[in-house]
Amino acid sequence: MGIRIDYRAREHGFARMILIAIACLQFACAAENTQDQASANAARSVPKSVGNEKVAVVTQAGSQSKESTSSTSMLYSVECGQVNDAGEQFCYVDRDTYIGWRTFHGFCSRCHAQDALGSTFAPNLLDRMREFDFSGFVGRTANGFTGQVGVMPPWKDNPNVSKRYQELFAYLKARSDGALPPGRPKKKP
Amino acid sequence: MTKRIIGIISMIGVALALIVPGTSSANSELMKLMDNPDNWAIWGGDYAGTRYSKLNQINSKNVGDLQVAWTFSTGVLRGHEGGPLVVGDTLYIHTPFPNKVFAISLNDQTILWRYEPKQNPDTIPVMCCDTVYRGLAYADGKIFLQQADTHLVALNAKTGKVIWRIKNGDPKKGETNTNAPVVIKDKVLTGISGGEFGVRGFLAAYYIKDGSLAWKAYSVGPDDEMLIDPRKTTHLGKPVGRNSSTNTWKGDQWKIGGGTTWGWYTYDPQLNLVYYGTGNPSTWNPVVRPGDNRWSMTIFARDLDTGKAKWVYQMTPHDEWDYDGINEMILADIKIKGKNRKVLVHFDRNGFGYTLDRVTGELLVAEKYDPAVNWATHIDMKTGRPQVVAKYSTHQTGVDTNTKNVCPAALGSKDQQPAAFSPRTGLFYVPTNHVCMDYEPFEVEYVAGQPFVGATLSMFPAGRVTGDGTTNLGNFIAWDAAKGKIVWSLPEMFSVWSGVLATAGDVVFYGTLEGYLKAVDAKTGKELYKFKTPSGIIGNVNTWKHKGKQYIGILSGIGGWAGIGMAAGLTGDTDGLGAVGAYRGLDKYTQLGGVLTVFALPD
Repeated sequence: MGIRIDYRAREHGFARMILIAIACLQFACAAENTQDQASANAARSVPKSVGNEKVAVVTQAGSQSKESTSSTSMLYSVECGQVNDAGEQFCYVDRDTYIGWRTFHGFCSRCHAQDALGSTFAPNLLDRMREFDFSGFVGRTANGFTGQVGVMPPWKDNPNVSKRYQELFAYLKARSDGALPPGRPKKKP
Repeated sequence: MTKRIIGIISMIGVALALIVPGTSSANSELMKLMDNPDNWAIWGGDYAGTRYSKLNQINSKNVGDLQVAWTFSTGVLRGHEGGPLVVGDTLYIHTPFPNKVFAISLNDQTILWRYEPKQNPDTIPVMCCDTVYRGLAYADGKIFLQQADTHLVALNAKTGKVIWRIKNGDPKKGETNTNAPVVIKDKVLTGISGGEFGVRGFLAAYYIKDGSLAWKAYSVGPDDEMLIDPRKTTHLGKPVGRNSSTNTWKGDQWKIGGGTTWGWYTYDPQLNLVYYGTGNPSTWNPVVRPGDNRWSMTIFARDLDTGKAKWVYQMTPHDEWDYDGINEMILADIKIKGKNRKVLVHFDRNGFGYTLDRVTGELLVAEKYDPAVNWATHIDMKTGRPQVVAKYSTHQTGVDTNTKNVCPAALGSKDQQPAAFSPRTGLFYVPTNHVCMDYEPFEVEYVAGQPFVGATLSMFPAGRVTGDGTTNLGNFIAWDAAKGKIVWSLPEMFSVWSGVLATAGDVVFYGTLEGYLKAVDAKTGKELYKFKTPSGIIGNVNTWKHKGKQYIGILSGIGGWAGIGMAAGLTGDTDGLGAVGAYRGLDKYTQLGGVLTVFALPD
């Protein structure tokens, strides 16, 4: 049931890359503290697929440790270069996470702000996503929600969003888990 | 026989004029109120939208002694745009959704009446960029409230009782309202929001006596529905010709064409013309809507009585960046190249400050009012067209391509926050953004009542593009509209998102997103006073006089698009922001909450 993680230092082109991904089974996995494991830098194998679920690999390099938290059936793959002098970090992501980023910034960021950081009238989703598994996320997104100060619209009738729940979930989980830093990710070739 | 008929028609005309006494009296009452600077009877202080007051009790010598006289909490947390109206002894103040109205006695600050409409909360998510509302209108003993759910309501100004209530649009189709209505003669004018939902924009005029429709003029579509006369309506001096809008859209795309009208409306009584601008064409993705997409992104001059368009000028043909053209049109009489001209001055989202002859629509000046603007090199003064730089053309770079470092960002070098004009200095005082963006269009499907954007954008300080090492997100500038030149510029940490006030005391007032009300010298820009109000300011500074004393009023309450573009992290940012780090600071300065703060000199 747990997360299986592969920690390997990799060279990817000009930059040393960090490959992060999370493999999970259908139900919420127990959180694992990966920090110690990161320092161990030990390689372990990961299952390629579990039923219909996608599976990915978490590889972490150098001193930048990323903590994976509980997750559901959501899966993403993130590869990030080091932070440059301008404070930017470029990341490559899988197709789902990329489409999720695009959908989010086409429809959701109007309220939840660039990088899902929240605004004066809609919450920061980095924290909020920890409360949701995939089915809870889909329910909330499809049917909407009336909060303390704001109202989330139902998205089930908008195909631009309703066809993209999985991709949105991938993107937001990657953000919420700390795997994906702010900014525009690049689609893996 | 013919003479008799003419005689009868004349008599009917006279009789009609007598039957409709409101026609001229409402107008003359409001004109009188506006002429007396003790009132602030309309959003812009006057029909010209100058936001200039002849009051000079508070002036550049004593403004440093300003003190808070009284405050009033609206009890609402959302972004507070607009400002108070003052008519005689009463101050009227509005709130964002649910659009409460309070009438406050200036004698003792008691609430004379309050009105809170019942609106369906489903309206909230349809509203782009917070549930803001920019204010009320007064005329003929009535307060006009334009609700978010598109209901336009006339309230008895003495009691707050509803006189009439009509529906201006349908939130189910994405139509909402955020604009302040304006009363001119016997009509109240209002527009529509929803450019991100495929709404087709219009300006509507309703009779103030009963709310019945006088005319409605669409921004895009067939000539008759736009109230455009192909032979008489001109664009840069030439008749627009037949089907001037539909010819510039693919198929029937104009039906969801945007061109919404959520800004401010001004009026020239001598010319009897109303001026306003139209918003972006839908969708944001330019690739799927070839053509100039007329008359989105356009300045309209319309006859008040008939709604007929006298002239139009499209600033951003075939918009590729969301540079809505809705910002205010300030009417002023200034000297250009030694000649007195009746002009219209407009600071567009696209970063150009335009000066036009407001009689004919002739383009006189078009220059960048933020040096960072890079999407176009200049405006061709003959054709009026911007010369677009290919690498910043999101259409040319194409769908699914990230067009980087475009200046300004979608929120523009300036958004709706209205500028001011002082006839004493001849300068315009402009609250501006200094923000650039990466912009990436992608294909989307249209569904009625659903957002229809089709582009991602990321915003960051303009200094990242100009490479000058600056991180400020705004500037407060003084502008010479005859020359098209910045006279002075004050950098601000965040976008300047408040409406400006200029006064005969040679002081200019504005608010900042951190929450400061600032007073600067109108000639030099030197800061003379500042005070930290309870929340960030996106409202307009207004002034009035009561019992011989001048007051300055400002509505604070962070939110709006400023609250999203700039205020990321107000709810607790747990993440590093890298290059966009400059945005994150706002939560260190301010939190939500609507409060009117009123200032005066000590006794």
